[in-house]
Amino acid sequence: MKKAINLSVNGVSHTDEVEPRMLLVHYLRDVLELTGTHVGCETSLCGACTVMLDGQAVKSCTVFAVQADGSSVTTIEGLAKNGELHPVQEGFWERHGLQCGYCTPGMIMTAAQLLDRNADPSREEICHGLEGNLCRCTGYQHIIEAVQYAAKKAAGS
Amino acid sequence: MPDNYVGKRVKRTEDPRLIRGLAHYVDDIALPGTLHVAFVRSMYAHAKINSIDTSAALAAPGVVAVYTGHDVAEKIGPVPCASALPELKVPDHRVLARDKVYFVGHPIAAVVAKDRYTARDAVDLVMVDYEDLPVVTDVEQATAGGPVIHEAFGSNIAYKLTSGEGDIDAAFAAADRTIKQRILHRRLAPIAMEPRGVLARYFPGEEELTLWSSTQIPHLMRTQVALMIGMPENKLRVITPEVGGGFGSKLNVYAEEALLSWISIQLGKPVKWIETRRENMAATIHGRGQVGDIEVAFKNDGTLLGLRYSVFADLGAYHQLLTPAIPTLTGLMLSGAYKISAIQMNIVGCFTNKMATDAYRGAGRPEATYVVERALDLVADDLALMPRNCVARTSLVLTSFHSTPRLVSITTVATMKQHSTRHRRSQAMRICARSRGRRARKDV
Repeated sequence: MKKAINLSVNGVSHTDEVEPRMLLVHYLRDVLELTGTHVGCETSLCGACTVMLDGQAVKSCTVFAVQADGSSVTTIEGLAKNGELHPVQEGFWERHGLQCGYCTPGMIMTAAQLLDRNADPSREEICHGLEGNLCRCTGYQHIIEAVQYAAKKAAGS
Repeated sequence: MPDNYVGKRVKRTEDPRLIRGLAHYVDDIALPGTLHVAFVRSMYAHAKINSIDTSAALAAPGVVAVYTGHDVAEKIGPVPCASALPELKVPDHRVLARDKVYFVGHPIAAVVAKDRYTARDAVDLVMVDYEDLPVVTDVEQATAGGPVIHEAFGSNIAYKLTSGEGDIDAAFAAADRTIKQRILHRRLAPIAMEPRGVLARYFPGEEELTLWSSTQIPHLMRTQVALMIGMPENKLRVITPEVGGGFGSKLNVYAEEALLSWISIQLGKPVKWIETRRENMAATIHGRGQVGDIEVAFKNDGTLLGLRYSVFADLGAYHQLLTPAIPTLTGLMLSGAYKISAIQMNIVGCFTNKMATDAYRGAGRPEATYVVERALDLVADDLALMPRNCVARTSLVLTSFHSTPRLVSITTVATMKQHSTRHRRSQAMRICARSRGRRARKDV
């Protein structure tokens, strides 16, 4: 029994019929072909699937697509505006906040929301804010520096 | 040119696509008409399979095919092991289990369906009748005459190997003191952020296959998968898109890569399998898994005379590509940076009811570092010395090879430069020779 949903993703509105059990991440990836959001653990542990749901960072592998009905979703593909990188994206590039890049979209979305709530976070606040996102390559130090870079950049502009 | 890079910040050229979510990992590649594969995997570490009933799964809407071990045993060759050790026991490792399962996660059947949800649902419709068998998990228990995993071998010992240099018995005989210490290198799961994944597409007209895999070794895989499925290598193309981490766990040729290729040929459709995290923990190779005793012989002044490391290596139930070789790499690195006149490593490679161990981050060599550093700490502790004052620590040989040539030694920056120049030169010569050869053949 499929259910109709209507939601806005990266500013574009979509109407689709989905199975109630379809995960939001599979809706984004398989139906809308927005494959920048990754699946790492299917259990909310790793954060690779993080997207913004009505401005809140959520792990889309444990949200049903039907739960996003009527909402506004931002994915990694929607973060850069008019070809200009979001300060967090720029920070990851400038400060080597990634190697393999698989956790990166989720990291960036979480960091972007962290800065939305707290424009000038301390190092501890950044660490705490990123606790739900795992990375196996970097050892996290460069990710923290990337977020610090973004905070500084956003304050300056 | 060097002024542009040396000492300068360099931004990575691959980052723009990665930070914008525009890069493609295996699961990001969508081909029209793709079928999805999900696996029935053993819930038991060791069991007999009395029967497998696939009828309910096959009858489910959207299910295209279900393959079991007996369906493919004659069609797909064994999962390869590239290690050659004297008298190594190599179990017949097929892509799907047949009459027995040997570890939790052992693939039993592959379900092919029109989408990934349907495939996953149908996995639960495959009825497997298991008969529990005694389980071997501990390496010492494995060799102590308990249950035998591969009955044809008569024991759980895959191989025994002693390697080293110097007169180890003389070293211990001449020692003022000796210490013995049991140490563990725990088994671990490598856990790349991106699980493994395979997409295979057969082109029936061209009789060609393209295989996308999240792998560290596309070239070797091409050769091995071609052998496994009996396809000429020039008809198989392997593509490695972005890879979300591997750490050695994707330095392998896995059952799923050959099986998906074969299924795509059978059905004439693209087939995709994306590993779940649970599968990744159970059925992607593990790392480490050594239980061993360090024995150190030394003089009262802290001079190290001998180091012996006797280890039970937990190989798992089957050999993957390099499984038996990994503990031997520990032996090659045991001296670390120190001058130790006699070193011996004794390995007992053991079969256990677990996934295979294989290359993980240093592949046997970090274990060696731990062993030799721990040995020196033990000596220092025994002699009430600061560890840095141990004679072995103060007799680092920085400019010359020491007396244990089978074990690594440190070279100076100058000699490394010489080596790399020489290497480049000989490589350039080899390439020239190759292209000359090619031209010569063309002329004929």
